Amino acid sequence: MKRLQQSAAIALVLASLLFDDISAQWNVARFDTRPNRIYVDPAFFPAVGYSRVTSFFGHSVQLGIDAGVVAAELDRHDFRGRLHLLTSIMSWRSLHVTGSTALIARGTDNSIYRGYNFGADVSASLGVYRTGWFLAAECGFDKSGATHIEHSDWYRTYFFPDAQDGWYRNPGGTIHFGLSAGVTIGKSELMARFGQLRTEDLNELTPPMYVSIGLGFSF
Amino acid sequence: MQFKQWAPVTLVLLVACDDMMDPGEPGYLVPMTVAEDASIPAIDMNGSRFHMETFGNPTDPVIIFLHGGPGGDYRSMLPMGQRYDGYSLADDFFLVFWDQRGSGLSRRHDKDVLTIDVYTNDLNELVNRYAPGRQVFLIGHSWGGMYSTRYINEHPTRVAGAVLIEPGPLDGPTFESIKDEMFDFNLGAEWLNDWAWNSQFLSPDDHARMDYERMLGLKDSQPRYHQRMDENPAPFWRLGAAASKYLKEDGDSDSGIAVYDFTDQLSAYLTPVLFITGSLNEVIGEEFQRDQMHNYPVASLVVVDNAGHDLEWTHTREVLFHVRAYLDELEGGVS
Repeated sequence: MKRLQQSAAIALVLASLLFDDISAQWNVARFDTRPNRIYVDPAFFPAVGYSRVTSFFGHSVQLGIDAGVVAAELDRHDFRGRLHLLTSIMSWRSLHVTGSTALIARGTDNSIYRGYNFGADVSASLGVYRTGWFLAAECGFDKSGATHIEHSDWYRTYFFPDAQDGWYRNPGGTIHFGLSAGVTIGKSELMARFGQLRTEDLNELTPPMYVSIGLGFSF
Repeated sequence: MQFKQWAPVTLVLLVACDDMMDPGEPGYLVPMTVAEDASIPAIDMNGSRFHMETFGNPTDPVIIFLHGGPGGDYRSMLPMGQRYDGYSLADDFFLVFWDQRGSGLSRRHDKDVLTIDVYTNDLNELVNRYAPGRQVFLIGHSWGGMYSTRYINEHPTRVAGAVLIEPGPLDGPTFESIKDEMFDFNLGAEWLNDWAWNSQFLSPDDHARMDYERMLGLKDSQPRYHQRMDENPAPFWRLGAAASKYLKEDGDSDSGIAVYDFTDQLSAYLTPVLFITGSLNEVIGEEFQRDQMHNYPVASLVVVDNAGHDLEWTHTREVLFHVRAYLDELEGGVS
C-alpha cells in the first residue's frame, strides 16, 4: 500500500508538472458576470495569472496571461509563460462547445542542456456550463514549434563532444484528452482537470496523464 | 499588405527553418550509430549490425565483455583492455567488446526484436563467431552480469568462466524486493522534474530523442549506487532507451511484475564464478551480492574498497587484479 501511495504521489506531481494551463478552462457561463479574474495554481507548478473577458465583435472572449516555474526547488530556469484566449464557440441552453488557444514560451535547464521553446496550444471542450458549476470533456494539442538547445559542459565533456547547439525544428508535441470541472463559491472559482497525455505520434509519455487544479477570484 | 511586401519575410522564415536542425536525425543530439556511419567498426550478425572492437590474438582464449543497462554501452569497460602494471588481458586473451542490440552505437530496433531471447541468441552468435567449437569467458557489469548469467543458464557448456561485476537482480522476485531502492523517487527530485518537463521541449518520438531523454536520468537518479557523476563519470557513447524499456518489459508479467528467472538451471554449472562488488553501493553491494552468489554452485566474492557501482571505470586496476587472479586459477579449464 505504501508503494502504491508513493507511486500515486509521484505520478500526481509529474502529471501536474506536464500540464498546468489552469487558465484554459474557466467557466464560460460566468463571462458576463465579472470580467476580471486573477488566479493561482497552488500545487506543484506554482503559477499565477490574470485574465479579462472582453467583447470581440459582440462575442465574449477571455484573454489572459500567466507564468509559472517548476516546483522542484522553485527552479527559475524551468519556467513557462502563456498568452491565451478562451471563448464559447457555440451553445444551446447550458451546453457549450468551447475553444481555447495559447502562445507558449518555455525554458528548462537540466544536466545535459539548457533549452528555450516556443509553441502553441489549441484545445476544445464540450460540456455543461452553469453559473455555479461546469463539467466538460476536453481535448487539445500542444505543439512545439522550435526548441533552442545549448548543451551542458558535462554532456559535451563526458558523453558527446560533437553535440550541436542551436535551433531544432519540429521538436515535438503533446496530445491531451480528459475531463474538466469547476464550482463557484461567491466570487471564487475552483476548477480541476485530469486526463491522458500522448506524444504527437501517440507514443507514451512519462507520466501518461495530467492533473491540474486552479483557484480563481473574479471581480 | 501586398505579396511583394510579404515575400521577403516569408523567404527569411523559410531560410531560418531550413537552417534548423532535425532532433530526430542522429549526429546532432546524440551520435550516429553503425547504421548511419560506416566508419564505425561493426559486424553484421543475427539480423542486426553491432558496434564492436577486438584486441589481441584471435587464437587465444576469448573474453567477451557485456556492458550494463540494458541500454548502456561498452565505453566504460574499454579500460579493462588496457595495460596496467605491465600487463594487459590482451596479452593472453582475445578481447571482444561490443554494444548490445539497440544500445550504444549499435543499430536501433523496435520492440519486436528487443527481447531476452533475441539477446541470448545474439550472444550465442557472437560466441560461435569468435570461438567456434570452443568455450569463452564472460565479464559482465551490472545488467551485463545478469545477461552473462542468462547465457550460462541456457548454454552452460560454452562458458569457461565468468566475472560478474556488481550484477543486477538475477531473478524477478529479487528485483521486486529492491526496485523501490534503485531510484530516487523523492517528490522534489530535480531529475524527475527535468525528465517530465523535457517532453515539452523534445517529444520522445524517435530513437534519437528517446536516447537523448534517457540521459536526463543518468546523473542523479541512483544516488545510493554511489557512482562518480560530477567529475570524470563513467562515460557512454549513447544510451539505448528502447532496449532499456523493452528488455525490462520482456521480463515482466502483464501486470508489470518482474517474473524473469535467469537462474533455474544454474545448478548444473559447476565452474567457479567470480563476483566483484564495490564497498559503497547501498542497494546491490556486498550484502546483496552475497545472497546472489548462492544461485551458483561455486562462487566467490571480492569487495573493492571505496568503489561504487561504476567500479569498472573508477577502480579498473583493482578490478583487473582480481579478474587476472581468477583467470589464472581457471587457465587449465579452457577447452
